[in-house]
Amino acid sequence: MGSGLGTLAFLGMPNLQARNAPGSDLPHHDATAKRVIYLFQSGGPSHVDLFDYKPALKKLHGTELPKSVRGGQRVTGMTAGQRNFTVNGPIMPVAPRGQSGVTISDLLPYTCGIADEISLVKSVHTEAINHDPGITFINTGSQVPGRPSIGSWCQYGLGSANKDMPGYVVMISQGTGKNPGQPIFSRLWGSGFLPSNCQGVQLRGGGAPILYLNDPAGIDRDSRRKMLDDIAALNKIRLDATGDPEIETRNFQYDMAYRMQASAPEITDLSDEPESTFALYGEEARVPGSYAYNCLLARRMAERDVRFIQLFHRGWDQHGSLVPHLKAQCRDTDQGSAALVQDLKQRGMLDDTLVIWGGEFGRSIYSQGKINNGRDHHGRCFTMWMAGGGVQGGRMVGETDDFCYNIVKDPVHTRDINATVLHCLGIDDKRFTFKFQGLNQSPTGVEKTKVVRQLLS
Amino acid sequence: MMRLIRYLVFLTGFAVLFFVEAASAEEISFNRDIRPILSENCFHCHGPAEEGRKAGLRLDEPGSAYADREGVRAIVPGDLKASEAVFRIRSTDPDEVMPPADSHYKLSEKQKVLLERWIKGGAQYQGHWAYAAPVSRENGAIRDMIDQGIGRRLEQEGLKPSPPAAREALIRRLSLDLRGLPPSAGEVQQFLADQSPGAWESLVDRMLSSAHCAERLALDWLDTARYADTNGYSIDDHRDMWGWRDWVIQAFIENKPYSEFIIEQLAGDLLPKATPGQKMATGFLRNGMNTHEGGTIPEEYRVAYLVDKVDTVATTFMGMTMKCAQCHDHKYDPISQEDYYRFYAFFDSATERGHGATNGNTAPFIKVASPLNEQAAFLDELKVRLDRIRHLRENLGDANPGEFARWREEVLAKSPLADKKDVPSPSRSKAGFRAPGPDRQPEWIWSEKSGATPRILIRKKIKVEGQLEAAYVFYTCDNNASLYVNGRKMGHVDPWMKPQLVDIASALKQGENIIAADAANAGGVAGFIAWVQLSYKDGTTRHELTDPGWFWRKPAPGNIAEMLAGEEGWQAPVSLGRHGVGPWRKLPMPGAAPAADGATLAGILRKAGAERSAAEKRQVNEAFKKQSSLLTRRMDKALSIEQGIVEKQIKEQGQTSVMVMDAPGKRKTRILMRGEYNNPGKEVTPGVPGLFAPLPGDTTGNRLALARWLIDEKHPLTARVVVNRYWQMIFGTGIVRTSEDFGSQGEWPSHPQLLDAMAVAFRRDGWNLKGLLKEIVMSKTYRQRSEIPGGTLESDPYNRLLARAPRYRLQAELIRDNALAISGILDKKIGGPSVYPSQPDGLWRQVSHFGYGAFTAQAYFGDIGRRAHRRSMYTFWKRTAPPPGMAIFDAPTRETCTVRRLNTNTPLQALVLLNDPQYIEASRALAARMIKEGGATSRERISYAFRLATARKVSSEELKILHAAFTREKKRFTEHPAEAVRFLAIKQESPGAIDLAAYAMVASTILNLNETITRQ
Repeated sequence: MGSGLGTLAFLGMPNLQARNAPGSDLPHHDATAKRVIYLFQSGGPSHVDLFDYKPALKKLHGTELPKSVRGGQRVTGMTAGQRNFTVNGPIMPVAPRGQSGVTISDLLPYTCGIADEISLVKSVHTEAINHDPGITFINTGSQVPGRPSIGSWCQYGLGSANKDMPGYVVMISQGTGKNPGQPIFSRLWGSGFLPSNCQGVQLRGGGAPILYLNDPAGIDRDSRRKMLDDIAALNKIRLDATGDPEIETRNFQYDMAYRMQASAPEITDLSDEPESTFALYGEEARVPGSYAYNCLLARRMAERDVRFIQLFHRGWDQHGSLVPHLKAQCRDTDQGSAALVQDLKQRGMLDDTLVIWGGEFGRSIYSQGKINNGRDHHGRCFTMWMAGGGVQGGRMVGETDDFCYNIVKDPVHTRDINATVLHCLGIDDKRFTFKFQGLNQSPTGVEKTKVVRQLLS
Repeated sequence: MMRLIRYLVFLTGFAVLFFVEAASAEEISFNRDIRPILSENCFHCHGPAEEGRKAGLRLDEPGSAYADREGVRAIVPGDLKASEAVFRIRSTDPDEVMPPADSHYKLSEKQKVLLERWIKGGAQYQGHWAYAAPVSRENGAIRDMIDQGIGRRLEQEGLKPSPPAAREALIRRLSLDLRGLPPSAGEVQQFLADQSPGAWESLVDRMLSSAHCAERLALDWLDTARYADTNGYSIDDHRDMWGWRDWVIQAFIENKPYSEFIIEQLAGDLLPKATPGQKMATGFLRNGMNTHEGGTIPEEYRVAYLVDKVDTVATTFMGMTMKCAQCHDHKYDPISQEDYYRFYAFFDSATERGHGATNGNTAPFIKVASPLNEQAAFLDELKVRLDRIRHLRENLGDANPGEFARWREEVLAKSPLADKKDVPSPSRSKAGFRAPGPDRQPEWIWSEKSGATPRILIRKKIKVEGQLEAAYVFYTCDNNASLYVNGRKMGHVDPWMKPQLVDIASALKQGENIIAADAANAGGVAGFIAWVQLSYKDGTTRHELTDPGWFWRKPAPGNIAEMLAGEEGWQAPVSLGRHGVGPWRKLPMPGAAPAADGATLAGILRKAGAERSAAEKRQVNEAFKKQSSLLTRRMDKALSIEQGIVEKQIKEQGQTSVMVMDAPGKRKTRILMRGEYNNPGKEVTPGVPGLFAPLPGDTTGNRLALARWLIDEKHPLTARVVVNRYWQMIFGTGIVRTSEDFGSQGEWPSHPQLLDAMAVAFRRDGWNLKGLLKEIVMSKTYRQRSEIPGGTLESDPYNRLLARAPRYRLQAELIRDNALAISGILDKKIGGPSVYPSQPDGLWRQVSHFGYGAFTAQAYFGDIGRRAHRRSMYTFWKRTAPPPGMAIFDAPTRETCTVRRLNTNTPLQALVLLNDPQYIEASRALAARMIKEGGATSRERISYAFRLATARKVSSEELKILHAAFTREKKRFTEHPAEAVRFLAIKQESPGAIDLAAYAMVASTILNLNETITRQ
């Protein structure tokens, strides 16, 4: 039974089983990123309002979306019965920003400030039209649950670079735009058929940052240490009697748990941050559980070489109350996201940290209900951005039609995004496999993928 | 640590070499040695799948492999030079080499040599072993087959079996394997004392007949059946399938023949004169996830549910992965896409829809009595749950302690303790609010009829003359208003439909007082209405009611309190009519419990919870709900939804709902091109894959025919797969390690003849599962020591040859069950509705749709008492947020069928055992048990606990360490008694607390030992 699987990933060593899989001797090529910070925006942020600049929409606003544009596309049950599909231009101006002219909305003033650091992919697409399949698809490579998340693949292949912390950490926040947002699921950071120690470890705002991290009341550090020494000594007696190497691993893990008890609170203890940090991230970064706080924690974990850090921010599902809710979502996230990129840059860490921003799909150009009421899901095209870790800033990949509806150039499937993330970490997604149910399963499934090279050099 | 890394590297290296080395020592077998190489490296382009096949060459069939293609023959038996395959695998030219350079596949030198030896030796093909029916000439007892089969192989490898394990070790092993629980102290004593030759067998029989054995077998089945208490997709609200779980336990209690166990779960509804139990068994197929996410296209998900059923049935009973063939012909096993959809057609006729139900079961379902739990028993369970929910609704602070503590501080800070008179005497009952008769009604007032002024201040001066007993304002405002008494904010009302009753007694003074409101309108007509009640100690009550005799003014910038007290700008309002007039009509009048004003509330909150009267608790709860935060109100709502569901179940009076299969047979099944639900192709009829013998000609091609086909004696897989999975349950690893895949990509069995012999005998013995288990545990192989003999770690690192008994960590559920059993707090009730043991606050809420709509299972409300101590298999299983302590110990999410868990060893596991409050509670309970049952001295007591956990006697060396720990902790707690109080979670120091705490620390140490959580 899986001796030592746990040990390896936590030791920061690549898992040997992966090495034994055909051709998956990692890294497959030189990595440009040592770590990933994935700012996942759950619910489907509107590419129409935030990034996909279309001057023509000014004129088209309020007109009926031509049937030819919609084509035979399937739409969700929520707007399928709608009589009119009225074009709804962006609620605030989108315009070229920075030296590079990357197009960003007035809704995201801080992100406009990092326009030259980030690159947009405007032609991301997915087959999913609803949240559960969509968010499961982009995070695990399949709409149907059961497969490992992208972060757990990285943990499996590369392990943790920090001896005292898990290599894959997840943080969740809830926006004020739509509260509660659509549900999310532990499978999004789960390990599927990979060993369970590859699953993302949730870091929680407030209280114990990791489940069961705190000693019970009435036990101090000294008595805990002595108890662990007793456990180790008693286990050692059995090790000598039985020769079972799992016992030695168990002792090692208890020791590491003890160290983690010290190192995890260190990450969440912001008392060593200067005031300038909060000027950069905003005052909200002091509030545990807020998006800005999680962005700041992401930087602190990146500094400690946590390999894969994933934020899930909920509330981007604007079927109604488009204007106030989208504004609120942007206000909650804009400064934190931009601060993180700037902060990494000024610390010289952006070069080897890949930052990704995006959700499970985009939103429809046509309004759901009256103008400016809301937008339905749209998977045919949407925008994500990436920065650092080998991604060149200030670029825009892919183009959509005048209605932000269909891709006209360089389509990028969500699985291509995942292939690109892995590529930056030195992994060829098709060569990196785990044998399950008789198949050499890869992180991106059986379909072909292509790395988004236009971002890279 | 370095030693550890070296060991692991070393271990993995050997694991790879092991079977290859074994192969070279004897004759080459195509199935064992060659097929895995070809399947892994070649079949992708030269295998069963037509699509993507290169050069028309198949290497899975001799006909194609030997064929002459324009003078080139891939394989020429016996002739290496003439075999193109040999030339290709040896070529260094990137254009010629096979597998191609860009395929990422590469043959090792050993593999090349094996292929060459095979070709030289005649390139004999064999059909895939698992697709030919098992044959065996052995006809004895299974236990002998095991010992002979294992022994033969050990001898070949030059190894010896280990001697029998000590009796303490044996009883613990048996108890854990068969019941999932440790033996009791009495059972150990009894077994040690029983020196008769039949002692082991009678112990085995006792354990097998225990209902806990049925539970243990059912637990194993829950992963396979992807059992859960929620719907799985999207909102992931609850469903009711525990009745099916009871059915499974009952089936194992009865030791239902496994063939019937299979038939009833796949097709119980189709049996002639099907009983309710047989129908409910088909819940097995319905345990899959479903969705009711808004916008779902039902057919897309109906197809997903069918695919899940195919996957579950193929994996569970046939050890096959058919999934690939959903979209295209299988690349490795001879399963075509048509085969797939013929199999799928067995399930396609059911009426199950793609759009699932909300908060419960999706049709078709039946109302049925539990086969295990009498109506009264499970109604009791539901009532206990209902009481718990009601308690939490009435004491929301218990559901949200962190928020409650924060709010309490806030309330106390606002009303500093002046003197004792702030604390109202609980014995004194105050006059409550009561409105004057119907002839005296207040009027709705505003600055003008139209409501055009968006914000106004309103006030009335009232005189207090005499000793007040109580004073209230009952008021509301369209749209909203804040209430002020003498400049102090006392309340806020929003929206108008929810008027507020405020106790203002503490804010009033003798003489003139100002009752006022800061009122706002958001559009349309507006109005403010209020009843002011002053009750004097002499028994008189006066009311002041809103009417045009009140005053209003426009607010100006500055201090509200000053403005309200000032004399500028006040004018008379207009009346919009008396209470009862439209659009507001009659307002809901307040009940008996008056809302407490700030000072009164602070007084109540300063008392300990237990000292508050029922009325005071209500006041606290109402105030907490209103004042604390949105979270508290949402929790109240979530609790009301849970309450409604439990009440509904109680009303159903002893029948629970279980989702089942049906088969009106109206739907025609079509192949779905590329697996896409909206891309139907050719029509197919139900049938089994072409590589197997077809269904008997006289059957109708329904699920019942499928089930009977699975248990037919000609079926090559079912019996082998079942036997292998129970072997895996006992020995930790199957004879086929990949218990989910017996196909060409699966692993070669460690003991193929033994597997076949057992499979044949299992069928011969009438699919008698407990009989099989008994045979396994009666074998000598089972009863060996588990200590690792020197040298075998190198030659057989994973103990596949069983030169000793296996050692492995217990599975997640059993770790917790053991801790509860060792500490004596396990509740041993069998079956029934799921329970909610404690888990960290907020885990569900953080990911769920909590706060939106009216869905169940969005927030977790833990049980207390015995329902917190049931076996883990009864823990409510939410698929999108499974119980954390289980997930950390490798439990799957139950989103899909899982027949094999991995077994990891991580620091997070250490944190669970060290710090999870459930394990701390168990430590305290074990400490109490040590004192009560363990004897008079500390050494006796520690030895007792050690024995409960490990079944063996503690050694003097071990006792020394544990006793030193006890002495050390006792000293610490003596010096810091407050620490003992905190560790024990008691209110104050009590006699014996120091000792109890010190024993609890020792107990926690024992519960954390590797041995305690290891089956050995």
